[in-house]
Amino acid sequence: MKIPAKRIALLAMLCAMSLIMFMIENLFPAMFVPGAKMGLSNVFTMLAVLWLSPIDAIILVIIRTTLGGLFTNVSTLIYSLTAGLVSVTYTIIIIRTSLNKVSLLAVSVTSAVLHNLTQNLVYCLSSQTPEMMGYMPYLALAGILAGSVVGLAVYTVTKMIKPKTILKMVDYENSCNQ
Amino acid sequence: MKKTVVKILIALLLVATFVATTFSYAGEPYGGDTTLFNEGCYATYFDGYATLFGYYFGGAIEVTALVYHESFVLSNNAEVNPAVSVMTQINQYLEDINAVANSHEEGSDVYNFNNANVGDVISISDHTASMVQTAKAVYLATNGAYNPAVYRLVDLWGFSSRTYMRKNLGVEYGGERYDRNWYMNDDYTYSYPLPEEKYITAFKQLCDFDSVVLSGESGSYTLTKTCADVVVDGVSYGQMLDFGGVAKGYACDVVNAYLTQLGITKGYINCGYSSYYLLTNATGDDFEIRLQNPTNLLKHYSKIMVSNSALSTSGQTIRRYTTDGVTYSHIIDASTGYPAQTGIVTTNVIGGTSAMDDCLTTALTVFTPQQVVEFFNSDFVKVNNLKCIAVHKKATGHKVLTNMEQSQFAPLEMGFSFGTSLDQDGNVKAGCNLVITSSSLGFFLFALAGLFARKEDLVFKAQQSKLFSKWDILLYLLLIVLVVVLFAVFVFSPAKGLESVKVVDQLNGQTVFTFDFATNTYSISPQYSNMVTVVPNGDKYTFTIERDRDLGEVWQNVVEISTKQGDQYAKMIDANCPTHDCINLFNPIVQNDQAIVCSPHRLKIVSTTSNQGGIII
Repeated sequence: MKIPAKRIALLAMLCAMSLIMFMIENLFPAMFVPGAKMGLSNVFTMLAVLWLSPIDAIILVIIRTTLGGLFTNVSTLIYSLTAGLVSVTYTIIIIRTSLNKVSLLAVSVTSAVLHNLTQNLVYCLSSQTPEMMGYMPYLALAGILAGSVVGLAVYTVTKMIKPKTILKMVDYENSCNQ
Repeated sequence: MKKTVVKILIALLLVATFVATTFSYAGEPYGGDTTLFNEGCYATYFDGYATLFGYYFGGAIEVTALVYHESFVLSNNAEVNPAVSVMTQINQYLEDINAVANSHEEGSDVYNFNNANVGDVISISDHTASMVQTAKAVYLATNGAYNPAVYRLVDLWGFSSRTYMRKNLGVEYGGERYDRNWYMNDDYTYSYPLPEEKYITAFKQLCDFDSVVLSGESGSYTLTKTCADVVVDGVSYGQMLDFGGVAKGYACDVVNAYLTQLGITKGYINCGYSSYYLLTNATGDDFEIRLQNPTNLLKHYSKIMVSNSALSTSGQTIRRYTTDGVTYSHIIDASTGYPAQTGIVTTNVIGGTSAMDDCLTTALTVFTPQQVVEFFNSDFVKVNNLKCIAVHKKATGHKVLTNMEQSQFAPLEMGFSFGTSLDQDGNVKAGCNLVITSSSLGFFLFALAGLFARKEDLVFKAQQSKLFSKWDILLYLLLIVLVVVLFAVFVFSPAKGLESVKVVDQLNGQTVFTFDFATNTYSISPQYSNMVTVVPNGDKYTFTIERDRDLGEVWQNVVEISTKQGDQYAKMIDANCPTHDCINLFNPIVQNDQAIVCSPHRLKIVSTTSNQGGIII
């Protein structure tokens, strides 16, 4: 398999931007509900799903959560990694099977809700605090808000960048012909 | 003076090294010893095996053979190496078959027949008779789908070696009146103008292979030409045979018979990469056969394991040209007079004799997919125990039609699925849609390949996407239902009383203290007794928990518990953590099954029923 250097560079760039976004977001307090964040770093996860292959998106999530966890708070690593992987798997499946039957916004919203619920569930299970389940409905609402913002961001980015620009970066044949 | 001596010594050393190296390698040349037969054909000998490589049948067919035997040594001396006589004999067989079957070879049996007049009786060799017998058997079994008498049409459509030589060498080679001129397209491919309809109609009448009469017995076979000539525009054309579809396979059979007679069990012979006879490989195991992707000739869609068997392949992927946007390939359907365009793009037949397989692969290409399946269930295939594969190219992907067990196919590429399946009696049924996978490993490989595959259209789709699509409604409805259910379960459930709260140190899972609202009493765990200070203030209690951490850091949390009737609660009022989530975001605990978590300090306050129940997940 030939993977052009440009494609790896694009993945690295998305990883870096995602990580930076993760770190910046971490400086601000959570919004309204404990543990709920905007998840703006997921903009880059979705872009990786759209522009690159599933494995690229999974690598991006793993790198962002592990490095982000190491730089901020290792104790949250297990929740964010599990939730990140679950939501990116959902995103990959739904985008690759039925994009444009469903909009990017809807995918983003559902994926964010899934992320929050998974994160809370893993927390409840791993720290044996079933009482935290009471925050599930609020986390779902927070996910809808965060997912809408991420979805709109992805929508804007994909509208702004021409497909040809992306293909030049990620496609071996095209990059050879340039 | 000294310097000169050193220089001379170094020079001598270099010369000595060079001479020694040369002599030490002199006995064992790198490539093995060779015997040169005729032009472009030679055998190479090694310890334990020997190879044959050459262009036979008028230089058109590349033949390779590989024969293993423990008595073979690295020498071209026939006295010490038995491989020399073996390879010489194989070369001789190939020459013999060329001499009788090559239609371009003056004096060959086929040449004689093609140039004979109607009614002439031609005496032919045993080799030719054997090929005619095989060809007649397959001609019958396939209802004329394989037809060696189709040569006039092959020539007319421009697929004969003669027309190819005219293209490649630019020379007039046995010019016929119906010859057209090749022309080059803008993309440097060649096209051949289509033939006139009158020639097709006329030449179809020459395709009667039944009219070729074989008679006599071993040593004195004869062929009789009985098909009447046809006249187009005053020029008379006679029936012509072409054994290109059987001679390669027949050569493999002859070589195989010879090797088997010698007791050789390892090796193979290949004629033109379309006919093979495979014994076993160097270790005595099956050969791994990779089945070519008919669309991308550099890729292989599957692999199968074959040994001690004939193998033949045919396809629409070679000898073809595109004229006026339609691609024509070299296999002609005698019943229509046109190149076969049934969607079957590549075929393989395994088992039986190589000559028979060679004919059958051609016939399978002429069949429609439906006829292919019917043929798989015919007695001819069952009696000869043939394994057949035909790839049907459809817009949706490639369908593999086969009478082999599906488990014998190991996947190498995506986009290929089975179009047939076997029932319990071994009959082939059409209408299967299984992706080629042979094992869990196969599934794993597919999953892996999917992970790495990039979907180009996603980039375009993403740009075209709208903010709302039809199926969004479904997702949003699911979401609404989920939120409603969650609220119903966790928020709008009937209020529960507040019985007791518990503060837990999540670093070790131990309880720091508990507070019972029934009796308004608290109990601090012994190991935390010097870390907790309690300040009662009317009906409120303030618990300050200070845990010493490394490097002089102190984790401080202040919990306030109110016992005022009707306003019982527990909440975090202060903490020296960076986020203060536990103070700002968590609601005060007012009933059972609630929690406040200070995640930086790994501390939580939970309200539990006195029996320690809580929500069971």
